[in-house]
This record gives sequence, structure tokens and C-alpha cells, in this order.
Amino acid sequence: MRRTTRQSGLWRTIRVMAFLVAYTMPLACGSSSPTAPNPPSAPPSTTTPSLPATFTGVWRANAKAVTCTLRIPAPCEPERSLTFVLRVTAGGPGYLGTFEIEEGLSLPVVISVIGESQPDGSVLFMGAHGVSRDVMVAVQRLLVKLDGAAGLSGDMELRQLVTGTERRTTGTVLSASYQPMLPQSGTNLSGTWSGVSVIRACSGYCPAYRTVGQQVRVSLTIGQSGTALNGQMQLSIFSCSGCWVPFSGSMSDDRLTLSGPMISRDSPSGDRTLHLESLEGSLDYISRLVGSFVYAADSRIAISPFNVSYRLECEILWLKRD
Amino acid sequence: MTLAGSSPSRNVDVQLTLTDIGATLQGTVHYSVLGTDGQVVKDGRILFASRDSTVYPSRFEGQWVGFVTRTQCSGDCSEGNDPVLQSGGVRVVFSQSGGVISGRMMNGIELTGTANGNTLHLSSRIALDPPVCQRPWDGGMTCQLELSVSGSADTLDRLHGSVTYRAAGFNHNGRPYALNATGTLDGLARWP
Repeated sequence: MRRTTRQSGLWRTIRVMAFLVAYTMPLACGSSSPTAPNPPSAPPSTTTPSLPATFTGVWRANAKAVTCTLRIPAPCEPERSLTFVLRVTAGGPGYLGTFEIEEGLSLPVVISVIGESQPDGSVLFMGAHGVSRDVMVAVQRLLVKLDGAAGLSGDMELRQLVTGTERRTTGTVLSASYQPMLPQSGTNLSGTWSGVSVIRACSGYCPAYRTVGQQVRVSLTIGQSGTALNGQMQLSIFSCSGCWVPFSGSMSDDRLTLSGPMISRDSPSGDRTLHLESLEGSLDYISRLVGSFVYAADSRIAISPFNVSYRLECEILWLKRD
Repeated sequence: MTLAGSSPSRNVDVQLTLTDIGATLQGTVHYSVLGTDGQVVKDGRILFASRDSTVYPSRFEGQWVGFVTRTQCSGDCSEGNDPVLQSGGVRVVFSQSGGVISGRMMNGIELTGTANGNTLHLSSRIALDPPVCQRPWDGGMTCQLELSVSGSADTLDRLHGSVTYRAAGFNHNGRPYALNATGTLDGLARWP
């Protein structure tokens, strides 16, 4: 469809991201019907957003890798594009935040960073994060300044250590878009969230990919009406290929408590019952969800004893709003 | 308020019924898609909606998602030989500062060019000669690529335009190929 009618000035500047629950959508692992959020109380804003005067907020940045070095002889691509997200709030020596990047890693990495203002108005961010015993990613240097034409500009140096192989990348921060940080207290959790948890305990059938210390990718879709929450959850360890598990719960004193019914799935293999027993969480200083959950399932596997059960206790390292 | 539309090229019909419009939206959606397995009709309720508050420092900064229709091709045009438009879907990230723009398509092709107001022009070039260009033992290799993208954005943040390219190399079966193709950008949407 090509729309040829002229749009009003208001709607030229307003774009809305909506999440839909399909009545007929066959949820692979049961069904859920999250409630809609409260009716809106505020009229649409007609102001045109503009770049901020401070660093506080969420920056989605583009960078160009200029050099990269490896300790071992191997291809190391310079002149490639990188994207990262920088979430910044005031605190510490000037700024606290996170640096999120997925480049070249099986799971996205979120690195806590601290930022210090420089005499020329730029901010120097640094931080490091150990993904596992063998994987470490560090922001050795991220020096950025506000740029009216590009959003952000500056330079950066990243260090990745993966099973003994060290890779250093320097690059130029080319540009960034900006979103304001959502308020933390009393916030509406409606939306989609994704991130990483780690298995802290496993009982029952616990093969290598389901042992203590293994990371699990988590996705949540949350609808909120007052303090009531409901929605659905997806875990990368489900052996039902992308299915979702419904939940409901509540928000109280900035803590959310969720649980779901045990649902059955008619399948000759994989998880046949799925149960989010509990999930508890809260928002951290940078508005990420942290907490823990317990998930249990009965599963059908290809080897004896064929019918197995397992129960996982996981710590949510972080879930960021998508 | 009811909004309806269709995309004949994608076999999609959509109807959006909004019962409340404010800081969020409430309402329902109905859509039908004609796919390879037949027609699928779905009805849904808006669970949540939020106004996109992203501030872009420039006209094309950010991620754009949509479809490109290959309108012409000559040479070895069979499926699997095209390194640019493999599935028809396109996701590209642009970085713009003033009139300078660069981008990366999700299949790894890097682009550079210029932007002026609502229009842009980017190109990409790969020129690998033997021995770097050789039949790989696993998968394909693009040895020669000359790609040009021209487009303009409309008031609804949709990117229309054209793509022209010449590519040569080895396909995923290790067979040499060469092709020339053109396509149209079918209104790529800016994706926060």
C-alpha cells in the first residue's frame, strides 16, 4: 500500500510501537491472555524531541573499528561497523551506566561502566565484565562527547579475552540516536524485555547444557494493569523451539512477583510440561530487571529413561527493555 | 477509528481498530497473510503500546527494515547465487553525521556515501583477486561486488529507492557465478 494522503504535522512526528496479542495465535506451549494496560491519562505530546544537554539516557551508537590485533595469527577484520548501546545515569565519579554489545559473542554482553567528565566536556567510560571463567570483555576506553550533528562522537578501545585468545579493537564512534531513560520508581513494566540468567541449581535430569553456571537467554513480554502483571516468558533452554510460557503476578514496592500454571504440550519429544514456578525481580539503578526464577519441566528424550524431569533455579543477571 | 491497508506485493491485508488514542493505544488488529501454506487470518488485541521517543540526530540515523524486490537480473540468477538480496528482506543500519553516511546490511555488506536532506546515495565495492579469491572449502565467497543504493525517505519514515549491483564469486556449493541485478526498496521502515 502506498499512502498518498498528506499526514498532519502532529502525526508526522509521532511513531508508536505496539505489541499485539493475537486471539487466534496458537501459543506453542499453551495460551495466555495478558490484560491491557490502564487507559491513558495524558494526551499525546506535540513537542518535537531533541537531543539532550547531558549524557543521561539510552544511546544506540554506531562505530567503525579501525584496528584490531590478536595475539595469535588469525584474521582480524578492521574497518567494520559495530553497534552498541550505552545507558547512562548520574552517579559515581560523574556517571554510571552499562555498555551493551553483541559483536562476535554468542550472548550479548552487558558491561557496567563508570564515566568521568573530562575538561573538554567529553566523558571517559571504562568497565570490564567476566562472562564466564574463559570469557572476559572490557571497555578499556570509551571517550565520547555530545555532538549536535551526530548525537555522540568519540573513540573507543575494546578488549575481548576468549579462551586464551585476546583481541583488542580500537574504533571511532560515528553517531548515536537517543532515548530518555524511563523513570525507575513506580514504572510501568509493560513491554518486552530480554537478557541473560545463569543456572544456580539443577535437580533431576541435568545434562551438560543445563548444569550450574550455564547461561540461559530470557525473553519476557509483560502487560500491566495497575499492580497486576501478566504475560509470557521464553527461555533458550526450552526444548520446544521458541515456545512461550504464560505467567501472572503483581508489582509491589518496586518488586515484581510472577508465577504461571503448569501447561502441557502435546509433543512426542522435548519439554511436554512447562512450569514457571516463580519469578521475583526488581529494577536496578540502570532500570534493568534483576532477580531469580524457578522453572520445572517434564521432558521426553531419545535415550533411556526417555521420560525425565528437571527443575532449575536461575539468577537473572539482567533483563533490558527492548 | 479504523485504519485499513494492504500490500499486494506481500499478500497482506491489515485492519487496525483503535478505541483509545493517547499516551498509549487500545484496540484490536485483524490481518490476513497469504503464504505458501495458504491464507492465515489473525485477530489480536493491543497489549501495550508506547510512543517512540527516539531522537535521531540526522535523517537516516538508525536501523531500517523492510523488503527489496529484485526487478531484473541477468547472469547466474538462480537462488543461492545472490549475495545481496538472499531472501528479499533487508535490515540495514545507517550512521550519519552531516552529509556523510555509512551503513551495514545484515549480510555484512558495508556501505558508504552521502546524504542530502531526504535523499541518500551509498555504494559498496569488493574486489578480491586470486589467490584471495578462490573456491572456499566451506560455503561461498563474494569476490567482486559493485553495489549502489539510492533512496529517499518520506514523511512516515519510509525509505523508497533502488539498488543496483554486479556480483561474482563462488556460491555456497563452491560453483562460480556472476550476475547483474536491480531492485526496488519497498518502503523500508525505521525501526527503533
